[in-house]
Amino acid sequence: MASEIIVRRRKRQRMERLWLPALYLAPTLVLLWAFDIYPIFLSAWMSLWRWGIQPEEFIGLDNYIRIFEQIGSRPGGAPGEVGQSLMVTGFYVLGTVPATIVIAFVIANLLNSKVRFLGALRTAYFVPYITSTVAAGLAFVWLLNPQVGVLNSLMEWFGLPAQQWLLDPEPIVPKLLGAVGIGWPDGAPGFLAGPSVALVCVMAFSVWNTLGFAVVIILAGLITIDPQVKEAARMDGVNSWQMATRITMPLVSPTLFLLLVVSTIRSFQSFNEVYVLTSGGGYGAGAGSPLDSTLTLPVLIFRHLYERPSSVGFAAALSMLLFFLLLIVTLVQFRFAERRVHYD
Amino acid sequence: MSMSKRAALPSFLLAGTLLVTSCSGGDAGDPGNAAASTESIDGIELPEGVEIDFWHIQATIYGEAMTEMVQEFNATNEWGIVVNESFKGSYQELNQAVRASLAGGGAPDVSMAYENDTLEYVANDVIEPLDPYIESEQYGVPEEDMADMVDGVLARQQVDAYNGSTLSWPHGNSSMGMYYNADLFAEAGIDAPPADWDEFLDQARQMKDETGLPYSAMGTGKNGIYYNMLRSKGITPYDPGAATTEFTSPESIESLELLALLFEEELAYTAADTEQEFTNERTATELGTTARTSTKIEQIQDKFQWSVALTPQETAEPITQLYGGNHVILSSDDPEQELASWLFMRWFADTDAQSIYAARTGYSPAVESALDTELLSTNYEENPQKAAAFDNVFVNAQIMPPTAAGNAIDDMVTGIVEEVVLGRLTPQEAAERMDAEATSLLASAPQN
Amino acid sequence: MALHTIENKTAETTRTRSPVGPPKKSARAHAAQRWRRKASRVVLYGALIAGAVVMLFPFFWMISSSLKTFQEVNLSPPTMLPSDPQWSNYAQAWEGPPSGFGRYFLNSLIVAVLGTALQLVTGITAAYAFARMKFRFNNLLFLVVLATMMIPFEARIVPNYVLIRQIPLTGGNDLLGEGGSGLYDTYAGMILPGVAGAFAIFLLRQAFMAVPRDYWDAIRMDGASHWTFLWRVLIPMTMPAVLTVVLFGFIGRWNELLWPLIATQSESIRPVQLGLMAFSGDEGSLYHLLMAATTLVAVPGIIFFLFVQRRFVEGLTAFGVKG
Repeated sequence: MASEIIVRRRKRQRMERLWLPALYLAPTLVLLWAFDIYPIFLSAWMSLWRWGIQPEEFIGLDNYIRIFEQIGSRPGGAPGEVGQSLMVTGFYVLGTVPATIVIAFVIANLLNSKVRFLGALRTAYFVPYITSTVAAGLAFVWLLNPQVGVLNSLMEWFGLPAQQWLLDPEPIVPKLLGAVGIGWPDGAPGFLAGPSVALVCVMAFSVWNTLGFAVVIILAGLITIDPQVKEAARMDGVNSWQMATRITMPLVSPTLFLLLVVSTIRSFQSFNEVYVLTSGGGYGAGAGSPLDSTLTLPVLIFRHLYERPSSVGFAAALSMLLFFLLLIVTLVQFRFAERRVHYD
Repeated sequence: MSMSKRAALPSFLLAGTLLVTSCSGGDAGDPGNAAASTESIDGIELPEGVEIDFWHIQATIYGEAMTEMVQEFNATNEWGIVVNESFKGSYQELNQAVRASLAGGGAPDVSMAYENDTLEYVANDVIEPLDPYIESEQYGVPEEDMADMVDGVLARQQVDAYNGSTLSWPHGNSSMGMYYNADLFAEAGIDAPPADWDEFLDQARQMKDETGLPYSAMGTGKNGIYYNMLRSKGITPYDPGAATTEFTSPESIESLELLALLFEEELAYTAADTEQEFTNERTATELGTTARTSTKIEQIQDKFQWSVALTPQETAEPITQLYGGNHVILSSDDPEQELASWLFMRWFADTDAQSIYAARTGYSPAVESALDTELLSTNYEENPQKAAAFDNVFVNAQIMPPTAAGNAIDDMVTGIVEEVVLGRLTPQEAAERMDAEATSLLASAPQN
Repeated sequence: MALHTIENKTAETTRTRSPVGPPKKSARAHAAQRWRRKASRVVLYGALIAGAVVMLFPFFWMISSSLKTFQEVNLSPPTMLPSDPQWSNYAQAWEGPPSGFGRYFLNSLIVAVLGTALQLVTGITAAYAFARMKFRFNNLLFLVVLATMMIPFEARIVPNYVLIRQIPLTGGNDLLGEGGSGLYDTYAGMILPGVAGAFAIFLLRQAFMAVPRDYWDAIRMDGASHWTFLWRVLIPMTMPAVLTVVLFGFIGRWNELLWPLIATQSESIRPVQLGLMAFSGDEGSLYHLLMAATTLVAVPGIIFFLFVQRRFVEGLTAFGVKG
């Protein structure tokens, strides 16, 4: 009798292990397959072709070889289009993701304490995320206007030289060093010179724009922390710094980890910010100007998809490059960062 | 029309078949339907109420004008054709939508297109040549109407690369002119816009000396200005057919030197929005599209006197850049549908429609007869700058020779010219680099 | 992947620290502490308000510009505040685009509400399976789901368009998906590609995993099923995460632009972001009207956020959630 029940229960459990997850996952997997996964397979296939409006010629790995060639230098010593965009994307991700998470963590903690007008303050930090990138971009373009912008007025007020901001392709590190009288060695590798002034402006915009998103995500994590835990720690005489690093941080680490992964992915895919701020009005200068110094990888994909003949296959190859870069970065994050995550 | 690809794509349900089937469309350019002939077109008796889809990129006052024109056509055309217009966003977004529809069905009957796309469309056999329609007895364009079209506008519908065919028909056009602030000119003692580039430099120095203001604001894309300089000296910057350039010619070096000098002496400067610089009186001139004449009229109002002149010229045959888009007919296998599309396009480029477009927006009319309509003649009387844009500038405008490599060359030239004005490259170095890169881009561009 | 190491790990740092009674302090120490607290309050408020001003400035700029005339909005250097507020800009912006903004709002509301609801349901069940069920390839499948976030949007447009048009038995299509226009130019076509969202699944999975296993063991004793546990216990306990998914789901759809543009052709079903496009084009923009319309379009998102953030606080007190 008893053994029969156990057998039946085991059988039921086995069924559950197979069918229940399948049932729970089915809608998601079917939709993801149709709208996300199938397209990436199609992209992989297209990347082996010279493809314009329709497939033109099967060229095997030629598009990838072309990518590889364009990492190297162009005449004049500058990196090729792909190399340039990889460098710009690298600066962009490294410059925006950590900054966003750190600032958001501080603000979310402040907003999680009992303050007056909490709702209004929280909303203030969230509004940029709701505001359309185009409208916000216009406000930034005006702030950064070289002739009459607010920022240059501030610079003058502090006795600093006016800047070209979004129009300035010069890298920032030699510029800063130059300002304190240190020269930049001629032979130094290009990536050490850092992002261009224009790219730094775009990055600042991006942090401003996505901060609200990060704050809300962290807040949702902070709110679930049992207040008793913090109270107990406070009784123990833990100071604010210790509270943040030893108590809060581990408790919201699943959230912070998620934010790290998601922000990194989004940052790698940033297109709108660059497009709105640096594509310029009128004819000629496309997104990525000045001098390709804000040319992120998605902008390069866009360029080949719409502004180059028969380059759909090449754009697909670039998409695959972006996809695999992200996959590797995410796997590394899971491998190394998730170890520090405490799931309870 | 690219049926092979349509058949290939529903395989999303079966991963295995995906890779096999999507290559069945591998042979580029399936034969498609035979092109219509003049006789077959003349033989069509168009039934009442044919509906066609028309995709465009026009918003703001341009979009409103377009809606008005489409409504007018729908209400008045004798065949009862109904045009459904659909706004498809920016030019790149329109492009994306058209490509998607060519792959998955639902392509529009008429779409806006620039020459570079038209080249790609015709190479893939997805658009209809227009010559049989133009020559048609019943539905064609009579000789005098052809003569009525502004030279540059007609020329861009039948460029060399189309191999003798007419592949597009006018949408709206504008040209590169030189806006000047007449009050500032008077203050600096300048009585007329410069006739040639030497005078341009002299006036720029004079402006700086007398008023302290820079003479010209230029956008981040200076390739257009540089091309304009070359063409005004009788030089065509590059030749797509022969895959050669004139970037290393003395005229080119001279132009690059002038640009470098203008920036070195701070007579010109780079601004993101040159129109704003001009309308707010921070610079005396702006080289830009005449399409902005109408917005300038509204922005400047009575703040100062201004007008628009032809860019400086150095030969007996003045020439400047022609801008704007065209219409193409996307093949639909249905002669009635295609004929209805043509009739709409023909109407759109004709006197009535073009006079509405030119009166409501900053575009110049594609046909001279539009100037005689009451609507446009009144409008031009009230807005003399718009008349000046047409008379001084637009009639001299021609497009650059289109090539599939056009965008890539423009981007490259934009970058290198920027390095010249920043003082990073000498004109000679720049010229050689532009020549080397453009030659290889032209050589590797898909030939038509 | 270190996914397998993460179940049932406890945050020892907090658990081992047992609360002790408050230490006794002198009156003077109390006064000093009160003063310190006051000072830190001032600093806190100062920092928060300064930050809020920086964050809100572009929004202020948007509203200010929305009340200017066409001439004033193009003035440079610009005026901080409109010299003569043009409230009529809002009426003009509302009527401006071809279908009038009332229609666009309704369309966006339909798309955003339905899309978010569907995303929530599929997201919750999928996240539950990933967080709480043991099955083969759990980690691998989760990675596949995450990987869909990494696909560049450009790669999706054309295949999604083709697919939408070829859904069988819709829009005049036959069983094989041929012959008609499928879900092209319909609400369903706009909604469907975004329903399964890796971000929602990821966020909910993280939240579900943070709930101690004891709860499951306890309810399992009573013979409850996964389904009951999920909806009766897990969801209430992770309300802030669920609300976050709803919030971002709604805003994401509300702000969607490119896909609706490609997937529709009739102005009568297009969403607000396409309505905004009526004010800027290749031949110049009407910034004053664009800003007025953008302000109007931002309002529902702000209201929604106010609602959600209030629920955040309520959720905290109502459920007494434990970390």
